[in-house]
Amino acid sequence: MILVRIGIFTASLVVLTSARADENPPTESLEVTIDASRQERADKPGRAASKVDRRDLDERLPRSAPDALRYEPGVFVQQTAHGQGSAFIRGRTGQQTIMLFDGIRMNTSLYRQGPNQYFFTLDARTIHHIDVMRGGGSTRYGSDAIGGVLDARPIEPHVNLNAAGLVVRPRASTRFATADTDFSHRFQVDAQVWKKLRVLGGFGRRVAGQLESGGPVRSPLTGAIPLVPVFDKDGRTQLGTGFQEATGDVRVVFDLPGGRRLVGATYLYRQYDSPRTDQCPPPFAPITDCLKYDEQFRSLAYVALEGPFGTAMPWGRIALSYQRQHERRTFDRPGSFTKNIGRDAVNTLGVTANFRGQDRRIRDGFQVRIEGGADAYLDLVTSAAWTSFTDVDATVALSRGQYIDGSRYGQGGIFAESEAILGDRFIVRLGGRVAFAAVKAAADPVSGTKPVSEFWPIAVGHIGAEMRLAKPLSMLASLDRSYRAPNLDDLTSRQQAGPGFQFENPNLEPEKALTVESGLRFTNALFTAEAWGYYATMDQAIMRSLRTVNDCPDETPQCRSSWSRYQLINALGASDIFGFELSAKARLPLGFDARFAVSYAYGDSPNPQARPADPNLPYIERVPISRIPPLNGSVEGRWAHPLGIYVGAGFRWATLQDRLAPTDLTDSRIPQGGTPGFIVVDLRAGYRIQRALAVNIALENVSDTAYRYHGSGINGPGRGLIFNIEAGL
Amino acid sequence: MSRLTHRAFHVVSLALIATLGAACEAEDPEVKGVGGNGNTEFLTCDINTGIKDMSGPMCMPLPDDYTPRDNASANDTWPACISDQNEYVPFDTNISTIARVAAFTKISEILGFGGLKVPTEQEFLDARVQYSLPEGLESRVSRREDNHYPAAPKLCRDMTDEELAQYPDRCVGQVKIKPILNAAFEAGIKGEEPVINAARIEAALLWFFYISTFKEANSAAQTPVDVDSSWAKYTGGEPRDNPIAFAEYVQSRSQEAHDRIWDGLLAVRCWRDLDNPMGTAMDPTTQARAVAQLDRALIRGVALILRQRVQALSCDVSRESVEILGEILVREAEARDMTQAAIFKAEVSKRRPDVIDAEKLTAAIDALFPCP
Repeated sequence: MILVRIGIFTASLVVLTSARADENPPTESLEVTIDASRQERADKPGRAASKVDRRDLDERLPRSAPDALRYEPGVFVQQTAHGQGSAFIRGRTGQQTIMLFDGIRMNTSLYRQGPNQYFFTLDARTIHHIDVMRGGGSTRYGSDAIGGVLDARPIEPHVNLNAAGLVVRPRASTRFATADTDFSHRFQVDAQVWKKLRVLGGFGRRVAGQLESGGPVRSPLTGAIPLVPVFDKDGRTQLGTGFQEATGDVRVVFDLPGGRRLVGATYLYRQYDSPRTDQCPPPFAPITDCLKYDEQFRSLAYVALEGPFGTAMPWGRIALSYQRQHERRTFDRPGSFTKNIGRDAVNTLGVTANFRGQDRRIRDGFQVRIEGGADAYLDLVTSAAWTSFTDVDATVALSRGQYIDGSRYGQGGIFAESEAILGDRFIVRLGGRVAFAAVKAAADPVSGTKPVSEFWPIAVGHIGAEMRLAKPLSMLASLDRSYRAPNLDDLTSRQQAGPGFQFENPNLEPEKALTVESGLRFTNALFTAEAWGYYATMDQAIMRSLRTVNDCPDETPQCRSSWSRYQLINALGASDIFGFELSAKARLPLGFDARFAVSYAYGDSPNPQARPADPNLPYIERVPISRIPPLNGSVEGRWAHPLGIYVGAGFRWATLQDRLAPTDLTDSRIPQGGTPGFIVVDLRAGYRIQRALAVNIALENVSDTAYRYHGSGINGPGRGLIFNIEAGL
Repeated sequence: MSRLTHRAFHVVSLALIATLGAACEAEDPEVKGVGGNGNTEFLTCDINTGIKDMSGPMCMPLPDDYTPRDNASANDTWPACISDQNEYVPFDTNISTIARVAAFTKISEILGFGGLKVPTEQEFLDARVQYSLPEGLESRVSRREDNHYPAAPKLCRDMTDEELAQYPDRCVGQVKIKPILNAAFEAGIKGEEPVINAARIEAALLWFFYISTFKEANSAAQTPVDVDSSWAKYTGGEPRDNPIAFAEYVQSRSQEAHDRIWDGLLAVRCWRDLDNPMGTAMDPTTQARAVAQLDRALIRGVALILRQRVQALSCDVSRESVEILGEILVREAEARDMTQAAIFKAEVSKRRPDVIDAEKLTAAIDALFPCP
């Protein structure tokens, strides 16, 4: 099979090399050029933010979009499964962070508590860069933007101002990783049909095998090997890993008069046969039992009109979007000829409008700029479940799926932000949003599910200030109020989660966070350093609370028969996280550069369990928040030669995390006593001949360390090579 | 633009179209029921006819036994403990086993265990849905090991089929019980011998509850809450005077056997109360005393169910219980008396009910499994 793949790649290279022979030698840089007309919103002024750019992606060779974030300050990437990944930003993840693709909201109302897999459904090869903003961002981005914002921006078609007619630039790349025999390819065509019309289209294919780790991670208390994951006979290869992927994308850009442009784009992600590692097999079950995502599909299509809208509005963007997130799961128990099948899909219709006003000079030393916008998203949900018996070819439909079929969820708001520059040392930023969220879900009497119909009006805002203490040194501070309205997962879902069975609570209220942060930023041509401290306190935090069997909904035997069962509740009292982030980048002489990042978060919340009636029983008022990352960080060093050669190394480390929430104690993914710390070293090297050819190699986990990111269902890859080759015109 | 770049452009366009086309979602599974006319038929032969108390002469507890019914354990050799009031005090009131016992009760109602009902194909399908619920009976049958046999080099759950075949007795859940259940459900859904297959399901699940009650009492040394599971596997979480499921099978045949099992369960709870109740147990001697007392009583209970089914061999279907419940007891029979065990084994292995010598088999049962 590997030989076949190598053959495919060789053939594609031959085609491209032949094609290149007919063309003039390329002169442009390898990096895809962004349209000059496009307003870049990469920077998050006044906020703790960082960026993963294309060069980082090329050299780090991440396995996925979440994996690309491992070196970012304040970000800790947990992996429930090989084909999943979720970024914790300042200790929060999943539905408490917002993910965007080209400014379009990815979050849907089916996002569940804790880590989720949806950022994984971005093809890292279509991403030009990822902006990471840490801290609350609901004023601009609406619900969920509590822990932070991940904003992935796609690669754009190349502009060639000198060409009059059709210019076509094909491109092919192949990557192979030894730890999971991950073979992936992408073919891409970047065409300028004529000067005003450009198209970038591509498709990709990926087959990842079972992931070999450095061996089992052991409990720091007992030395025992956790039940998750289960290893193959070699004691290194993790069962319940491996998946396949297909991607396709088309981006059409049409220049309009007045510097505006119309963008039409579609991005398809198709993941197949991706096991959920902690359920493949589940703890104590036969090794043949496996919960697998047969299909994990995301389709995004949108049109956007963007550019200047008159002198008063030098930049604006109106976008209409459609996203479909579809997943089909099968819990296969071949020993009993039984399959539990679930299918959920959410269709999201969205409209967003954003504008940036002109900088207005009110008087000397006082300049103001206003930005604003509005957005609205409507989710339409379908959900169903079946039990199938393969030996008798019989299939029984259940009364409800993980969600209630036909549920609807709407949300949106309008916002305004302003930035006032006072003199040459002081900037004040403030903004506000008026928002809503509304939900409607029918009852399902057979399963004892109650109907939900709610409307929540919400108002949030932020204020910040930046003071330049010296030319390269600024002090920043901000106060942000962000929110997350309960979504359909919170209000209606029933599912077997990592810590146990979770059932719905139709009476939840929005959670609201207040974040105070302060930082120092030093920037000059050679050196950038930032230090941030923050304190985020959340009211009515939605969290899991242990429930008794008597609390289980009627007609839900799975709830009663699970070892643990949970219901989401609004915490009574504040749920707090505080922490700090240090980061620096230095451009050193002789082609060297270096980066480092250190992050720490400490979180606790009110004990979601009621105080026992017996006063003699032990009870603690506050408990750790689930899966808060330990102290962690990274160091990267790199040397590059102008001829295109680079050599580098990356160190990632984390300390023991033994502060465990009550739900963590029943989570098989977390070793008894916590997740041990680790140090992992990756070496990298590569060579790039501008656009024509790039070769990247990474030797990951040089010391073959057995390690696990806290809360993950899999261990990190063992020692292995990742090889990437890319050729094009 | 060159011809080659044109070609590349076309290839990518076609491939993209192909990707979009191939990226369709799979069809939902077609809901398929089962055949049959759906009418419930009734039998004239009831294998539970004439159930009576078979306790026999009053049992004398062994000197080492825990006897909470006797003056709150004051007259036995056990120290004072949490069970002395003759009540079971759970470690945790949330006992997931109770839901699995409830599933057994539901299956029993659907298939009419031991009654006059001839279950339909649809009823077999409905029963199998109950059996196969996530975290339900099937999940536990699949992982069940029989602690009467030495541990295998690794957990049965981690074994391949070839490895499992080497440890059929220890890996009883996957190797012995599950195949009976799979085959019986399959045949029942296909409309084949519904009464016989319902009886096989009943006996296989009783086997599961018996070895599970014993297994949980053993694993409680590491996991204290397994004592609750052991208790619930037998009682379904109900008190002594309201037996359901496995407990009801025993109690309806012998109040004394039922009480002795309860005493054994309380002995296990007592041991765990005395032996580092919040951590790993450190007193294997007391555990062994408690577990042995429990197992003797459980074996007597299973033997009495078997004995009653032997009495009912005039109903052909009774042979299914005799075969399966008999297999449970062979190991213990051989450990007690090889001569009687040979008779016992020969009779329960007979494939036809009319050739089983009920008198001989009953005598062997009485000899091998006296009151505990």
